Amino acid sequence: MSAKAAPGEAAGPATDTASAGAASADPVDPALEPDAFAPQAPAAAVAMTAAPELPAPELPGPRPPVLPVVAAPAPVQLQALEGEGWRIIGASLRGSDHVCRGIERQDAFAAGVAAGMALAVVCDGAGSARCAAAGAGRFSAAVLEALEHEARAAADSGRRFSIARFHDVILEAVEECRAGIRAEGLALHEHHATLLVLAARRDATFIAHVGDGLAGVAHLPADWRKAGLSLPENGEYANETVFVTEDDWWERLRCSWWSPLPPGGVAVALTDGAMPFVIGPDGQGLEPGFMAPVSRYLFASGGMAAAEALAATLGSGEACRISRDDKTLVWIGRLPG
Amino acid sequence: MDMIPDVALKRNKTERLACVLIVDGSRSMKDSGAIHELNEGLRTLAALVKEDDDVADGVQIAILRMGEDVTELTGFVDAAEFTAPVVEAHGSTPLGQAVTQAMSMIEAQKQRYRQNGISYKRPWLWIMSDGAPTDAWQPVAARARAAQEARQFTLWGIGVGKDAPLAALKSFTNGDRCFRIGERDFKAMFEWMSASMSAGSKGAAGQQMTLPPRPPEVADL
Repeated sequence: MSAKAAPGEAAGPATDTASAGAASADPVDPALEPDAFAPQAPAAAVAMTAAPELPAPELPGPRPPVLPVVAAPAPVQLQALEGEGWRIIGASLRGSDHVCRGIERQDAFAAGVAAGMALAVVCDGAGSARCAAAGAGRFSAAVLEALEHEARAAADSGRRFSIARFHDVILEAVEECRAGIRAEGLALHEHHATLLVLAARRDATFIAHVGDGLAGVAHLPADWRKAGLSLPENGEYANETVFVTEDDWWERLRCSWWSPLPPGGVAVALTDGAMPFVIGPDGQGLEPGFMAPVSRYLFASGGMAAAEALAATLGSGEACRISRDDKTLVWIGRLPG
Repeated sequence: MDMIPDVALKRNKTERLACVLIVDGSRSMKDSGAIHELNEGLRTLAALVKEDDDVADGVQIAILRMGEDVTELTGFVDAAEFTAPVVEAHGSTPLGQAVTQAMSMIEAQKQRYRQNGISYKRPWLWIMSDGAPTDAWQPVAARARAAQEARQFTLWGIGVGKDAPLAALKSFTNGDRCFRIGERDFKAMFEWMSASMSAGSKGAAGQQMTLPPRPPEVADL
């Protein structure tokens, strides 16, 4: 169910805020950007809120149309890819509660590497929404496609991909996806989904977040408790959140900028189902007992076998005992060398 | 495929579900014999909530008795630690006073959760009664309905006995959560309540709560 209240106890890490209007739509060298967008230490991040200004700014070139994506409700989604110094391993599993109730998997993710940037988009469809799986699939695919296109276009033209541009591309992609759903005569509320985006570059890490789920950025793999987090936004109640399908979704779009991952650094994006055993004790950092062996394994092993092992971990008896919800986790590692 | 070796899976995040039960300790519960079934049902509830790890870890239970006055038989306690109190039957049915106290307990518990950084779900309030209230209940019923409209808690009314007057009880609810059980049906009702707590403790983000089907003993009014 959608939340109307302000962020709950696990509110995002906003310390300073800046309106989107303060940032130029034209990407500039980070050194020239306003202080509000200066990269922070892992323990802090800068958040910005979206301004409701549409239509979308001009894009550098023609973009292929975003086609509607009908999410295949397979019980498991796996992805493994590697390129340009990044390894991405992702797994999404249907939760045991959904299995018992005959409900399809309602989490979805999309990941890719483009122009030196590792990208992961994770969406969690609302259980109350009739087309939750489709919603999660559509938004994750649409946002990834838009970010990949922008990353390549920026690289081709020599522009930097700023956090302001990151924010605007996501805003446009979500609005376009929303328009596509409406154009098909479908109801947005039937496609309720959260959104979590990770973009890791050699010079910065960006996160965009609407709703719940968790993103973590660990610059020092040995110190998981100090990992920076983009926390879920819930309403007053833990089982309520916000979705990109709501009218004021752009007001709830939280973007943050983190220091770049060093070789051996890790970023993760996960849905609420996996959060209880990935977040650190007392909600601080990431759980070392989970992240250390998982990262050790995924740095040593790539490919679909690694994705299958991650899936087996998320689908283990103990994980299902902790949470019966769908579980999705996308792991991004910066490869040494 | 085997899982990744050496992974420690432990729950670092628990969401609480606070449940208040208002039980009827009035004289009529003794006259009908229902009080014995109520006490047996509470013992059943105490056993069942410990069998489900999610309920044991996440649900907190408080019990108020209404009789000659309103008595807190059990303050909020983890379901894993819940012990069924013994409910005695004597006195009247101060339902307005009981619901007023329950609403205060719920808000105080939410405040404790917030102060301690604990995530929580919308609390539950269950009322079990076999007769009409004997105090000034109408304003309280109006406040309870308004509080439900404001999503402060979810309220269920359980009327006891096929002939029990339940119009007042129904007026505390927002329409669709008032049911009737026979005097001998507490066990089935508490089994359903325990299963509902299990479903409620597992409710995922963005998910409307879907309770398990009601047993035939828990009937529409």
